[in-house]
Amino acid sequence: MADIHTNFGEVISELTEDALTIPISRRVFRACSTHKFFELIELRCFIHDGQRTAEMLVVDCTNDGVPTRNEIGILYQERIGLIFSTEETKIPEVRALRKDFPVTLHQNLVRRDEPASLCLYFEPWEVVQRSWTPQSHLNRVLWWLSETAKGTLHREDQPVEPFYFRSPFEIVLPPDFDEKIRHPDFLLTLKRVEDRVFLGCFLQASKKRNVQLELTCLVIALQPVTHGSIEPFPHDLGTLDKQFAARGATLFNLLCTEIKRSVNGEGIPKTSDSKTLLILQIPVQRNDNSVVERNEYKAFCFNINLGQLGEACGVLTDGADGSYYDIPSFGADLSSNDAWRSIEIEPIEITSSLTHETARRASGIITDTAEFFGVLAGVGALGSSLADIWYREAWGTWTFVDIDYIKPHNLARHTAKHFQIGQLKANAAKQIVEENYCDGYAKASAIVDSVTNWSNVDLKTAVESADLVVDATTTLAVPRDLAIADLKRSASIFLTPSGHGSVLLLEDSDRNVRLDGLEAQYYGAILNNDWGEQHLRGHQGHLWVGAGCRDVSSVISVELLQVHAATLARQVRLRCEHPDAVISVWHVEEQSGTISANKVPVAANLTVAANGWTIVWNTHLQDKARQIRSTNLPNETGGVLLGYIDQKLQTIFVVDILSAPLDSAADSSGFTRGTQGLEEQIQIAQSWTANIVSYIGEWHSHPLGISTKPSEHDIRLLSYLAEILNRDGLPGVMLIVGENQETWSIQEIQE
Amino acid sequence: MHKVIFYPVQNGDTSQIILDNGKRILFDFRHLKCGEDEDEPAIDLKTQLKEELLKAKRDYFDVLALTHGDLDHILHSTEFFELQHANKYQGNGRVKVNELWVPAAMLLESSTIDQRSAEFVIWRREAQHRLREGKGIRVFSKPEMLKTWLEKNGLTLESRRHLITDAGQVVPSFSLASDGVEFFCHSPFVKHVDDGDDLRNDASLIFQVRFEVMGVQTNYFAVGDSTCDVLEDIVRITKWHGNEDRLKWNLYNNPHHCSHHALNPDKGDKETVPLPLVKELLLHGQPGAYIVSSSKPIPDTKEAYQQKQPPHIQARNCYERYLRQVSGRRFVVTMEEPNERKPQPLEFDITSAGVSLNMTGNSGVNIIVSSPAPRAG
Repeated sequence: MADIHTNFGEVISELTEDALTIPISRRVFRACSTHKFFELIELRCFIHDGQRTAEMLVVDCTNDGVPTRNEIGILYQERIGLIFSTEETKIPEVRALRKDFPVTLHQNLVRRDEPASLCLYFEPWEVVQRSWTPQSHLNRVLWWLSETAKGTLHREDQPVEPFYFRSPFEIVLPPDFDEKIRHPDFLLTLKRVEDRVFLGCFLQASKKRNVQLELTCLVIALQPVTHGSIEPFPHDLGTLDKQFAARGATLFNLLCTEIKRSVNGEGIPKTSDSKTLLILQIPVQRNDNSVVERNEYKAFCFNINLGQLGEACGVLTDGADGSYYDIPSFGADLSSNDAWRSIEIEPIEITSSLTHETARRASGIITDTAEFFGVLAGVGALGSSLADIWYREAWGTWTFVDIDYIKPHNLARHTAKHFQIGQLKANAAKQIVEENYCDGYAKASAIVDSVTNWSNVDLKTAVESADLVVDATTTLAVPRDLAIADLKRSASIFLTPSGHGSVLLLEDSDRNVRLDGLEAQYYGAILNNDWGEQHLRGHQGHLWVGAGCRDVSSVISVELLQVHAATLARQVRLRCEHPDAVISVWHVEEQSGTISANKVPVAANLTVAANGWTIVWNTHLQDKARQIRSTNLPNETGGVLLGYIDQKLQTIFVVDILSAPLDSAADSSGFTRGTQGLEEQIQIAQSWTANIVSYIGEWHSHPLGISTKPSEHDIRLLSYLAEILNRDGLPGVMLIVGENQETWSIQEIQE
Repeated sequence: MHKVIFYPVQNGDTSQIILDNGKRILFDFRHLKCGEDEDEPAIDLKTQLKEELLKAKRDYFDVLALTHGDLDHILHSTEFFELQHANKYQGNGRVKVNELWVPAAMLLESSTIDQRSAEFVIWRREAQHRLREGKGIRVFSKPEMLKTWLEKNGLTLESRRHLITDAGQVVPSFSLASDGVEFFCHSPFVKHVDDGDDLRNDASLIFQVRFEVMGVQTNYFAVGDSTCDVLEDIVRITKWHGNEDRLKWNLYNNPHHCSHHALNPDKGDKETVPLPLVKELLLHGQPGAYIVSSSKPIPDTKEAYQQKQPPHIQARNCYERYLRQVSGRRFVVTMEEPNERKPQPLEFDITSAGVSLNMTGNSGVNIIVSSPAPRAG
């Protein structure tokens, strides 16, 4: 090859397919022979221990896709080396053999004096080879060259310099790296995880002395450098220093200072380490006077220990007693000593710990909607799953409230681990979510108490100040108590007893419709929708089991639990961005896994105080009653009221208004409610709602021109209801519907 | 990014400039009925252009430039475009032309009775109609005959001067500042159309199209059919006016399907030797330049050297020699790219990084799915 090309590999004298021994290189040889834009120039090979380990097809590649005057500096014709290894697991390499081939994005890092290595594929070879053909490989080379020349070959998620050869170490930087790097009290220490991966964390400088370190690690924050073009990898310290100097930062002086700081006047034993690591924080600005846009991080490895490095830099001296010592500096210009310049450096892969920002970016969440305080009431199986999801997305900072502790059977569905058995659930959940991140980075709080124990000041404060309170207690009581609590906005989520359904009730942001009203409307939806019959099937006369799992025998697989947890976690997050109230129900189809979503329109609540009771109904029911009345005019009409009564809250929740049974008698002056089919209707209401909803009273209409004031007949009817219902300790409830007006009456037999 | 696209229409011409601002300038139109047959290498031009317009959500071209009236430059065009002079050429999905560019000769040429329905006659009527209306037309050069025609139609040259561009002028409809392009007119010049009454083929439109993207200029020498004596005249006149800059090219559409007549009346055995001034024009090619031959494939075979009709392999050899000499890239033949079996439109991208040939449509799958598959039995 001419001087303008790197001499790489050993020449194979013949230019024939038979001169090649590796099947894949023979296939590519044939493809090159017929390809319009590739011309075979010669064959080369690589020999290790007398064995041919790889073969290289040297080709001239002509490319019409390369713009004639591209500034990157890719030529119309480039000499390329197509390298194929005898090891089938190795991805084919592509080398640009021209010595002055430009340094561009998407090149692999190569050893000193080796030709540029083009990074052609985004996926690993085991994936690529499934669709790889010699022709597609050649076309990919053309594509890489033309896209690079146009400056359009760019993928956000690809590192600028992917590692071609395996870096000896990989360092994971802690999330507070930028914050603590300049702090004199902290020193970065590296904990070895596996063979080559080190987790970095900051320790108090005073504590570090006591930690047995395997590697000395120097950490330097450079001055801001100007955004520049991509540079070739610097293979020695001198080149590295020069590259930074050209971009406006000095490295060498800072390195000397850091070495001295590490030695700390005490001297270090000669035999300490065999290697030294250097981590650089490089603030990058667009031009000399602009603000720092971002930090880049680079790490390098020296194959000498700290003492040898210090000696080469002229800051340490060999004490001839087995240790190196600090040389007091008197303002001497250390850089005049050149020994350090030729110290070889190797690149080290560096990655950053998960931060809130990266977690959100990975989940497609914008920070504006993710920074708030929440209370999650109930961290059982469902609650702990939501907590884990929301922390992995960095959505909100949460306080977990639960009074229970982890029992062995919880582990079948809870996110807790075996070692947490006996721990309080709130504490366990806090620990689990925090451990998604680097030690001490993520924050959660735990309050061990029942959720509505308002005498607990911490709890009361947490609930009242939270931007969102999510009830995952899977109880009936908590959402009803939250509905009357002073808080900003709350939601209630639960699974149905079968585990096939899940429910989200979310208050509107002004709290006009609260959890209690939403609950009543949810039952109304069960009674009036196709999905209602099956929705709560499998209940054992009581609702709110399932995810609460207090009943050890309840059978819900963790698969189903997590399907619902994921759905609910996402839906709570998305719906919270909007001010509207929400009633949504999801069902998982047993066999196919289809999830169907049913969104129930939320009506405005209507609240009426009567006789010491509060009646909660809504505009949807109001419309329904008025509609039935008007279709029956001029006659009166009526029927029964379905609902339930919360004795603690002294509240009557109206769920539905039924039309008249067929055997009812009605004329323009009166209405006598019949019985046909009624018992069955009420049984259905009870059965479909897990015995929550039942008969609560009667309603009837008044004709045109007649007020909704109870007539004498009506008063007698109400007394009758009160008397009979008193057998169950319940009040008599009666609704009269007129023209654009309703009157509720309640009568109780006083004990 | 601007684009210059050449369509594979055998020995004939159709090319299009699509500007970064979306404006479309179509040069010539040659639809081959045989191109509608999927087994035929030539493109189904009507379908191709219709689809392109559909994608761009347009039903018009900003400019249709007919370089001259020969059939290989206008074939079936009167079935495709909406003509304003008669109802029968309107509607039914016909494509509108905002501005029609024609050499004056095309407007004035006489025809025989037999030629009444010939397409060049239909276009002559259209051009005359538009000129009478005073809009949607640009006429290149103003021979005496044009003045006479205008007077005959009760018009003055003065009233139509803004619709006429002479050789040596830049077409006013476009500018580097607002469109990133200018069209410098080299031909026709009066000498040719006024030289006796012979309004010949060689009076076709020739432009140097200059693109500019972020300060970087790219020149495209768009030559319709022309002969070496015309080209020599162009070089001579341009130099005389001190406009040598207007002879530069990064992209050269060689005249008349790679005919040796555009280089030298003598074909030569192995290679045509260009006349001195044509040679000068070829040497104005810039590094990285391309020459496009809108023609059938030009194989280097024994028979090819005997061939009378263009394309001429001797001419190709000549072009390739000078392309090498100016460090140009490639001599590209429309019916050869990416293969002779199913050629695809040649799409040159013009950016601030110069010229590149867009290769994205060239994968086997792309080619197959972009046209009907051959009939199965």
